[in-house]
Amino acid sequence: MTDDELEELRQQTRGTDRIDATGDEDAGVDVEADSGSGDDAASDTGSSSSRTASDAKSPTPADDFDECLASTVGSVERGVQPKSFSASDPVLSAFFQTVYRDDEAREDVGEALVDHVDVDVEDGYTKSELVRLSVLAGVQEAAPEYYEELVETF
Amino acid sequence: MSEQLRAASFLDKGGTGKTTTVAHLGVALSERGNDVLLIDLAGKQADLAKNFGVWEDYRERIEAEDDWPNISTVFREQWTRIAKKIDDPLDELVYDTGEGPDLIPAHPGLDGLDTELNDIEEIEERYSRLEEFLDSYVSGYDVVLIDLPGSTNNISYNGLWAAQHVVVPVEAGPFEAQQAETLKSDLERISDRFDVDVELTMLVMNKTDQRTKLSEEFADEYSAAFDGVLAPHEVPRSQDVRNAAVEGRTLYAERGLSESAKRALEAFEENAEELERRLKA
Repeated sequence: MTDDELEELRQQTRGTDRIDATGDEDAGVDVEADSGSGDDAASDTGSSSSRTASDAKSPTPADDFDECLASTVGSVERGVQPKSFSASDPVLSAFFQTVYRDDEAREDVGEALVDHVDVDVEDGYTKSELVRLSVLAGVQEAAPEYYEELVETF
Repeated sequence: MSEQLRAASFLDKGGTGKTTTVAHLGVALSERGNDVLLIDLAGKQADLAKNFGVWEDYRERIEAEDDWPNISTVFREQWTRIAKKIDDPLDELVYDTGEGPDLIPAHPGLDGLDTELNDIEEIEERYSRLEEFLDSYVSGYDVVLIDLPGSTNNISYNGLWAAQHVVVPVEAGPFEAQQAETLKSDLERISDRFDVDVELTMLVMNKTDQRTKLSEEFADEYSAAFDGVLAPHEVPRSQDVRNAAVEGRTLYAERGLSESAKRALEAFEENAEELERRLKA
């Protein structure tokens, strides 16, 4: 099993138990904490206290945000952290369920989101796809520089 | 080759003897001339591997990270791609127990797998990963027995979907009777709701103490409640079963059996014969 692709698949699917997963999550938190806790990081990126009103509308990623994101993506691909994300909002939950059940609404909302974020959808507008596209659209609209980092990671 | 017979040992409770039952029924079915595969999904402690004395070897492979692919890998969406790249994917997973059946041991990856299966939105896909694996990659076995976790989760649902026949070891007690009733009802609801035919095929009264009147009373109660499902023989409590498991073998590989162990062995043999008959029916 020396094949590169097979090795990549091994890394993605080796599996781990919850104890190791928790350890990796902790390691991720350390990276994140390091990124924002030092004086250098604050001076490089502009500390929150010196941020202007326009900066607040369009936040800028820290220098090592991309490294942290790439590291976390690896952790997710290895199955250490979950591939799904969740939000608790009863009305939004009802909204997406209703949109999904209504053929016309599903197509309308799905196509509008695809046009907005300009990404491909492979398996039609499933509930998961509708939520995913909505989140992408939201980040793109509200935090475009973070969206750029996100797109580069795909 | 005739259709592969499959059964899963399951009850939403630990300590009823599911693993011991799978081990002994597996060897009994093998002694009857079947090629038997045992699959341990019951948790990362890998008790079936311990029961057959292959745990130390497997543990060393896990520690050396020479444990891939493993049983948790077959549930991943990448499994088809992985299997295509391996000459004999099933051979990578299987251990020889030395007592007849082959074994795919449990792996620590099962611990995190349940959460990953939650990520699969479509229910049919979430619960059919094991069935797909058995249908596509597990050939050459007459019987597949699956040891499931003592709790209801995505992994146990995969086992129920794949096997569709459930063997339930229970101890003689009021809570166990209630749990078996609940399971019977749950299996009927699963079949109705998800359009799969999962049935309670055999209920085994396990670890009975034939010297007590209480045990007799529970036996009568089970007979009335599970007519046609109850295994033909109760399996008596025997310290030899536990001792043999600690030594890494079943009663079949033990010498100098006590009277209770001999009765337990006879019960496993009779129950295995009846299980085979019911699975073929």
